[in-house]
Amino acid sequence: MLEIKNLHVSIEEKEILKGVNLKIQAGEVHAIMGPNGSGKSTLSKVLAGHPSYKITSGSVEFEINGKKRNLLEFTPDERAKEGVFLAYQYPIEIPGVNNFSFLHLALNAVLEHQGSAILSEDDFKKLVEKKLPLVGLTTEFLDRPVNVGFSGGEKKRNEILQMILLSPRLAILDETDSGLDIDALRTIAAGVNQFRKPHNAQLLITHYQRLLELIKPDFVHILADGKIIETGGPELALRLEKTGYVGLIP
Amino acid sequence: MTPLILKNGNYALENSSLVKWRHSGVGSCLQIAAGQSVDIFEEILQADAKPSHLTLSLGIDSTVRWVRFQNLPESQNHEGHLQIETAEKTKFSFLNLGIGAQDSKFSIEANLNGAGAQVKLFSGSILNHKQSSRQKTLLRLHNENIECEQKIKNIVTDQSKIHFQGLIHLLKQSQKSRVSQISQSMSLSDDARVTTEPQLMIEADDVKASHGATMGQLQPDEVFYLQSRGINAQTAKQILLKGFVHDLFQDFNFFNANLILKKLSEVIA
Repeated sequence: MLEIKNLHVSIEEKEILKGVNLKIQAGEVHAIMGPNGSGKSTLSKVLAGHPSYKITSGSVEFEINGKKRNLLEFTPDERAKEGVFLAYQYPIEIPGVNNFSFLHLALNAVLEHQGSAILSEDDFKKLVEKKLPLVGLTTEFLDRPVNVGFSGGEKKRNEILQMILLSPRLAILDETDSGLDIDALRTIAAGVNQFRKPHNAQLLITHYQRLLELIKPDFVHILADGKIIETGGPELALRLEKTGYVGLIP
Repeated sequence: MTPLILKNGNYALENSSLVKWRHSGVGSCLQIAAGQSVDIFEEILQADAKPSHLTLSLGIDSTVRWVRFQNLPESQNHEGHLQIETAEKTKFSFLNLGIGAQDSKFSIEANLNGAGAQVKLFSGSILNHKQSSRQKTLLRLHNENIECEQKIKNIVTDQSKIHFQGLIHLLKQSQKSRVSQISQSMSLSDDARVTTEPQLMIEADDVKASHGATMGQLQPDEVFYLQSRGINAQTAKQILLKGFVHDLFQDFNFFNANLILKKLSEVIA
């Protein structure tokens, strides 16, 4: 589904990613762990198409309608419509923009691109009200401006709600567990697990084993200094929890 | 409540039992009777031959919500003045929204006379090309316990210009009053200009008063966030700009904010 080859990325002349290689197949869950500043969030934003980053070399291929396409040629909204979703570490607050209208517009943009019928306001309301309990949110959040006045946990829940509604093929969750209490983490993990299907894949970026106890990854990668330095199964995350990164980073 | 519609040359208010609308050679006078409530939507689609001058007299305990929407062709100029006299417990909310005209000048002089009056004076301008707007407001608080909120929001691009000068004068009798004056502008080009002169003159010693001005741009992270949900860049910018001015419209549910969408599309084109 996704293949990253020798990806080098810079921002303001500083190289952040220094040759990342990663292959993700449909149905898989991958976790990327790594120390602060290793490039984890940069990788997630580059995949989503953030314009601040400069791709200096390498490629990112994403399977669209059975064909490998160069994802880097797509604008951020085109990527989203093709099924790439980023759940933000720090979701952006958008004052004056109603959450319900935003979610409705986003879903209809994706549906229209897919050739599906767009949803009326009433039909969307019915749909979103069914999904809200999955992430522990109430209808009150729909009437508020996007993420404005939301607690950290509520913002993360709103991100997962968006993921569930947009139903992407590749969901990238950037430190979705940070700032969450254990109950919120369980709710969000349940929402993510329910989303897991044979035709989609997830890329979890996290610092902590506790998320991976709730969302079981197939592969764990360690990203350090802009490169994936080790790949393993879930046992790698357990080892990290005991040893830290000290013994792993050259 | 269905708003009264006021367009150029259409003085439907004359026959209303709620208000008195009087014309003279130099201007017009609109009186709102005590205890009455009225919503007014004024749409300016054609320039007057000479500057319009309106005196608005608000009765005790009257409630007025007024949207003045100036959407003249860019080939025309506009100049207007509004004189406001409030009374005890008057509730007056006014939105002056300007998106048209090549050169627009509008001034407000308000005497907030009665105790316990609540006044909201909002202004929004969305300008592009070489449009310019000059706004001047003078608000005098003559009595105690008056609440006055003034909010100005501007969006400018290309070589457009806005100049705002606003003075709120709290006289000695205006004890226990609360006033705020905030001007927020968003510039989408390097050549657009906004000049803001918010001023407070305070003679009373037991009041709350604040003022401020900000200038910003569309935030790339906000545009990216919306794009990352499948919304194209053009629509994302339009949504963000509409969100920027959204709070101007909250008290005026009879105004269809979609009337500004075409203009927003133009300013981000």
